[in-house]
Amino acid sequence: MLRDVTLGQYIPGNTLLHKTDPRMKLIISILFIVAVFLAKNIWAMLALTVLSFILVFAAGLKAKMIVKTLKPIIFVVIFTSVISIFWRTGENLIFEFWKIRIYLEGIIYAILIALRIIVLVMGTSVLLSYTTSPIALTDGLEQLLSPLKKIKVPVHDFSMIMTIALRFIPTLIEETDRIMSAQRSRGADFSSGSLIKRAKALVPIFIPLFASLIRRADELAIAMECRCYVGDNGRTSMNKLKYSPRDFAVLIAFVGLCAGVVLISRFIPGPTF
Amino acid sequence: MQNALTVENVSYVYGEGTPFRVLALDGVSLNIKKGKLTGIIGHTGSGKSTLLQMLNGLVKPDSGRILVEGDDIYADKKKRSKACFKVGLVFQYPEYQLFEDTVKKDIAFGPKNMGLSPEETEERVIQAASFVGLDGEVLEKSPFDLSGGQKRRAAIAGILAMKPDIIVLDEPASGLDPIGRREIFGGLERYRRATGTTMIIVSHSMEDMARYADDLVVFENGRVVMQGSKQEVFSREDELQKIGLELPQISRLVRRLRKMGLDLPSDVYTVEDAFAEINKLCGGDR
Repeated sequence: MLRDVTLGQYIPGNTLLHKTDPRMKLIISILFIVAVFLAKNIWAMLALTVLSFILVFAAGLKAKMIVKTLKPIIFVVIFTSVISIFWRTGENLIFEFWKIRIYLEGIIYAILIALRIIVLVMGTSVLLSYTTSPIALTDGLEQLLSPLKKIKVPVHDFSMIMTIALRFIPTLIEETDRIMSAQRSRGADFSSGSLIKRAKALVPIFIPLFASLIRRADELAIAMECRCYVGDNGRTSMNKLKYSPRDFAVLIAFVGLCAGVVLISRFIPGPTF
Repeated sequence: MQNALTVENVSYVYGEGTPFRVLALDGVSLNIKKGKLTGIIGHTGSGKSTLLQMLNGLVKPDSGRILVEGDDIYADKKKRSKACFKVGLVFQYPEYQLFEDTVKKDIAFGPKNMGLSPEETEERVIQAASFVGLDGEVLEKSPFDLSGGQKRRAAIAGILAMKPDIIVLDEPASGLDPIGRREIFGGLERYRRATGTTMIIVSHSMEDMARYADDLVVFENGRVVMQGSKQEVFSREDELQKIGLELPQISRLVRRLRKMGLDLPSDVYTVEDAFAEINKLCGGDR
């Protein structure tokens, strides 16, 4: 049932990408996204596609994972490409019917848009969700954003909220599962009847679920206070993040690759957006 | 003796095809005798809870059959969805499933789902509540205003009111104080005597099992390692100890005394019995 939902996409491993500092990976991801949007022609886009495939294999992921990553966005990709075909006008008309005109430029544009979405999702998910544990990610985010504390942005509080939310997703699923089973044991039926009847059938799940969530929140607050949690003041971190030379090497390599992509897009002529 | 429930060679695997694959049940076969109280003991993670959820149609075994009164409950969809009316399952910490605005309405949830008339439902609710010692104004209160023990009893009454042929309880008394425990088990005992319902109780407390169970089933790592009457199972003390289970303290004391040469019976499982026996030995002057 609910237990089958995959949670967090983190896949443990021991590759270079896994070992890279999460802050660096966040920076790299931003670079990657910028590069994707600066890539204006087909050659630059193909270079990025190759780059993201390299990332997938560098992270030790199986080809099956690529399919799994792209499955949820397939609809978006198809939808935007189909719309884009009609969007562009140009000189090379290849198909005309009544008021619908398809140009070669439109098709190229559609392919570019599709590639852009695919590369964007693949690259960022490899860099962030597949190779970085959620905890490392929130830690990295907190430390990366910590300069914002100077202007009174509650960075620590946000990251604590994120950590707790992530931590409680599995608990919540387990709890829902339990309550559903318990009510089903009392003859509750969640899967038949009209829409209104089904909505009503959820009441016996939601009330106990909210009751238990509030109880858990209360217990957690007390447990945190017992361990003298007072927020950000003077709090140190168990896993202190430290940049290693390797991280900078990865960064430099990435800056190089992204610059290459931008140069290709600038100076090598080819069908463009 | 007729069997109320038969488990035939049931296996179940969690997370097949992932690195987290666990064999939860491994060829489990059981017979539960009609009208008896069968205790299931075993460590956390030994597969007990998975088995319980199979008994009332929640989890379908990967292989093997579950027969209630000789009838395979997974034979077709309809039978499976009706199984929860035949076998009532009380989860661990059942108080977390209460949701209605009064205790009475909450107990009535099961009977209502069975499609009973309002009069019949009302009657069953009052009856079930009185078995677990809830009546009068408590029934009109919100379940969230009750004490822990009362909540637990209200939740159990919710299953009793469905009048299933077999009642299965997962750790019905866990987390309660001694008085709470006695109230729960006392209520179940009263219900069983009045209705002759077959019961299956999972518990970690050997003391409770010794006091209330007729038969015992011992689980280890997804297998049944012992099953039989309480006396039979408790007589295999060494094997029990090997899997980390101890006899009730009082039985161990009596066995020590026997070894020291006192003339006591070997099947003493409750403090009351031990007291009576020792008293007899001393000439019965107290």
